[in-house]
Amino acid sequence: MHWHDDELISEEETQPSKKNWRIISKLLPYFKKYKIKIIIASVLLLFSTLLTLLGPILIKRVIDIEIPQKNMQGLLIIAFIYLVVQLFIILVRYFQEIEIQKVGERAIADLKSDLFEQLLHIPVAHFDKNPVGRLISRVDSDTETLKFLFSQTAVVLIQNIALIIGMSIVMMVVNLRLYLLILFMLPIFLLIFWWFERSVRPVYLAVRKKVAEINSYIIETLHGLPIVQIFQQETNFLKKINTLGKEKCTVEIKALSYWYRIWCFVDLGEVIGIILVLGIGGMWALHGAITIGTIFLFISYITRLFGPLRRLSDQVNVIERAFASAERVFQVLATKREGKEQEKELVKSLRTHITFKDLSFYYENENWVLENLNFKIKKGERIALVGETGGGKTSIIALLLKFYEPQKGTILIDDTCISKINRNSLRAMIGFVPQDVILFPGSIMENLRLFDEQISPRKVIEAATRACIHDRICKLPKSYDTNIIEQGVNLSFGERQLLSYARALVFDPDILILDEATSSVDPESERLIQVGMKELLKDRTAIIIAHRLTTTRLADRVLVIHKGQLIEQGTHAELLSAEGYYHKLYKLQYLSVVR
Amino acid sequence: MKSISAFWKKKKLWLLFLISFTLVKTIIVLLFPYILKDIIDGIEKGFAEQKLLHFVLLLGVLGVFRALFSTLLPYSRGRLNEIFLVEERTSLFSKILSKGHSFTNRFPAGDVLQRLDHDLSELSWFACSGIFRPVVAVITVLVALVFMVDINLWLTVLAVLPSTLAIFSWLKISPYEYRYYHSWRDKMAKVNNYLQSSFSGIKLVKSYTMEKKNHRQFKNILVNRIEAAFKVIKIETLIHTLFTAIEEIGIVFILLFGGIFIMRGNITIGEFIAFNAYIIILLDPMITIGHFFVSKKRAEVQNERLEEVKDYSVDIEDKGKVKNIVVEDISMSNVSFKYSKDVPLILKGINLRIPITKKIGLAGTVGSGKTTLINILMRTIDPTEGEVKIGTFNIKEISLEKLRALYGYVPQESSLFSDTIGNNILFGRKCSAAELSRVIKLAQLADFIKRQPKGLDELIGEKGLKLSGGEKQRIAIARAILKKPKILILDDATSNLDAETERELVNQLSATPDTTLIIISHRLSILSVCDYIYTIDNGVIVEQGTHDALLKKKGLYCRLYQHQLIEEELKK
Repeated sequence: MHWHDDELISEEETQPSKKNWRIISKLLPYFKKYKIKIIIASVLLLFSTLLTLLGPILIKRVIDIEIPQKNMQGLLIIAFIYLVVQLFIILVRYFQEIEIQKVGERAIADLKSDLFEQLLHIPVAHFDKNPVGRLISRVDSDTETLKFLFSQTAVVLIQNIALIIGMSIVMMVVNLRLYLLILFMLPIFLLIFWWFERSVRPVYLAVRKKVAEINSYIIETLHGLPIVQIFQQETNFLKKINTLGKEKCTVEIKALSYWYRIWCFVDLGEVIGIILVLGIGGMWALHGAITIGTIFLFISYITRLFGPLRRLSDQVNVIERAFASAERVFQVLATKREGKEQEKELVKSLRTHITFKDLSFYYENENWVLENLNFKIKKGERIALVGETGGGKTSIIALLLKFYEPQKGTILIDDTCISKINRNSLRAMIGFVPQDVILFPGSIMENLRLFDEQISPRKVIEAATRACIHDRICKLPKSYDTNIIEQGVNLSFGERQLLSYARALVFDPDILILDEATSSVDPESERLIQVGMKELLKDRTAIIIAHRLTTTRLADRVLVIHKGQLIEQGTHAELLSAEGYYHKLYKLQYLSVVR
Repeated sequence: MKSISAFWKKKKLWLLFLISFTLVKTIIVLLFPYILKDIIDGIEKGFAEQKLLHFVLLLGVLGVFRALFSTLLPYSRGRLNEIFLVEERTSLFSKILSKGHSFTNRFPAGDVLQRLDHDLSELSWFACSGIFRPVVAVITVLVALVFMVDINLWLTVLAVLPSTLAIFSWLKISPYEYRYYHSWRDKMAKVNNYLQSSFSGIKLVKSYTMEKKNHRQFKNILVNRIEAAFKVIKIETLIHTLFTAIEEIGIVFILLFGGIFIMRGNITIGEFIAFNAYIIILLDPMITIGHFFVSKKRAEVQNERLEEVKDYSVDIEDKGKVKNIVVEDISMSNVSFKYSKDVPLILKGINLRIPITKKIGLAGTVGSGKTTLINILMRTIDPTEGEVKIGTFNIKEISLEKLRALYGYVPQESSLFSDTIGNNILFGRKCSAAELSRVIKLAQLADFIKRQPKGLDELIGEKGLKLSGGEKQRIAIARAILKKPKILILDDATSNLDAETERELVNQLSATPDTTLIIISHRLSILSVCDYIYTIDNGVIVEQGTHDALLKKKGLYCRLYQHQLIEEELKK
């Protein structure tokens, strides 16, 4: 099936059926690393499961031999063997269970880590299309459901198969006739399970759909809450959520009823088995054909078998959910990463100039955002891009950073076309200060040097001092070791901006790209930001998306971008005297600033 | 946990049913080994075939009941879980519907959803299944003990003796289990936070080529999480292992002492086998009782999180008693407002008058306080100081229902809902077809609706048609006019329409008699239809008068006007 980019991380569930095996085969490599552990654990699991069969055999012996013979010594020996065997099983189980779960945890962490890495490398365009919450749930919750598939479902499955086979052999050896008597139940059970699995699947799908519906209704209501209140629609909204809730309740109860129907069957199956053994086996025992111990053995095997069977029917929902999750996860992993083969050139620094040549670009549907753009930036020059929002300024820097690729034209670094330049070496040369200040969980130090331990704290402090934020950081509870997010430190907007500048200074990039924040700030922050920015721009090739007049004044040249085209350029003074578009922008700014 | 006890107070009959049927079911389940005992002993003694069949038949009948009961009970509990979930969700939702801005500020939508979805469904499980499990377990243990003692007191004592060890070890271990569980959840939250910042800062990540470092960092966080998970795994496995071990020791005791008792003739083989069965039946209830304390603690946390939402201040108290109000001039005297203690005032000492049936304009820069002022009028927020009056009544004296019935409101960001176009316009109201088409025409929507294949029944929003800004605004306008409000407020609600459509629409709206119109518009030329205009700057009314008078003044209004003219020019 062909898919579009938008479907990449789609929320819609498909009904997995034939795909299941393919998904399992994709999942297997994650467990390969732990092959030996898994094999050992599986062997232990099989071994301990088979050992549990010994218990009833020992008790049977006590009933049939030791007790009638009043053999106290034999009884003691068997009780001792029983104790040793059971303790051994328990010990083995303990380690096996922990190992299996650990492997599950580790393998899923590997998957999470791979997914994360993949998402860091897919083109930025995917991030425009998918809300962050959705991406998070791919990495986080979708993988978790897969864990259960391994550490629960697989274990229960292996255990049950081992039990069925082991018990069959023992029962056959002990008494073939009685075994054949209860064997006929097996196909009936398989049939019932098959029916159950088929009929419950659409119901669970319906449940999940209803839950999604309720959730989006809640979100929508929360966003439109004032409107609901002003239009006095509270009762209607309440009615709707109640109706939706009841609908979900109905399907959920339907799912429950399937579930308990299977329980009922399992339970009845157990009873039938016991009755057959007691009735017919009892009859034979009365005639001396079999012993009471045999009857005991059969009954305890039957009860032991049905417990896990019940647990297996529990797993149906888990399995369904896991496959749906897995499909989404592997879709993400199969997405093409950014980067191309021809990107071989490595760049270290800008020697002469950056050239934007015949550049045209659109995000989608041929809605051209940039059209035939031509300009050059000399090394050491500071350029301000101004113009209306949506005019194409952000797209220009996004193209320079290779977040997107232009449909026509190119950008040249010195004389090399950027499509041939290794994107990491290009980005390493450029420092980017985005509009919003992004902070990662971790200390300020780590946030400033972006977890690069090769950068010395001294260098970081120096950069912070230059960005005029050092003093503020020193006042924080743990100075540079303060964790901004976790400790809930309140930094002003301006201070956060300065942190962002300091970060760029730490990396001391050859080319600086600064996307100035649009929000209006208080005068004190404004002053701080100006000082920080001057320091940041010193001796650097810089491209600034400018929103403030004070910023454009810092630039050597101002480029006015309007509807994807370069319509004016020159110094601030030149453009003002030309009385064109820039002049109007200036007046606009002036009118809004002066009170 | 109030919600749960309130639920059961309403469902007393169910409670009675569940408890009595649990009792019956437990007795049936525990009768099984008892009858088994009689059959085995019968076989041992060689009783008549006829009698054997009778016993087996009895067992069969009991078996059918057992299957029925052990299905029906959890099924009813599951049902009640779901019913609790629906009721509680609805009740929480009704609380949320009355909350004001401070609630939305405090709880982001995603957070509320997390609570209503995840926390509530876990609490619902606890509300019935969670509570009943230990009840069933206790009943099972007690009834089983009765049966066992009936067979042989000493063997019972010997079989149950190891279990006391279980209770003891449980008390020791369960605090750890809870603590480990908590730290695991903490680590999970850390992973989530990290994903959040990495994905929202993806451009930063890429531009600093920190993908590798980020990945390494993420791996470290995962390692921490794995370690926390391992602790939980270990302790849970330990608990399980311990219980199984204790059960097995019980069986060994039965095997050994039971064997001796049989040899001495104290008990029969049937009784011996029955004991074996009882001890296996007892394992599950003991684990359940132990686990109950953990699940109860978890439910308490979930309950707290829900109550936090439920009990959060509503901002606006509906204590007004005045129900029949004649709409008169609206006045604001000395109104100031700020969102919370330590933030600056948004409105400072506003005094204004809105004469009824007049058209009033509000002008000012973005963030000057216009929308806040409107919100105070509609009482979606209450002023920090000062009062708002309609005629002689302070609006706080008027019942919220009657007050809000006066207003038709079109917000800046026209929030529409994922429903049909028609339902978005009607928005819970009923009206004649003629009236509806009048409104549609007035809002300049007629052509747009005609173009839709399903007309008014066309779905919009998430799963339907994607609307342009202008279309959304016009639907929101239709929704407001359909309400036939005494006071219609357009809060920059026509910004996405082209100038011509906007003018026409506003002209028509202002031609409606008996309606007081309050317009906030970025395009000041539109305000020329207004009888009176207030210019607000930084929370203060700086100018007032008619459009022309204000232009002549050459103050802020005039500057804003020029600003906008240039903007229009720049757009061309």
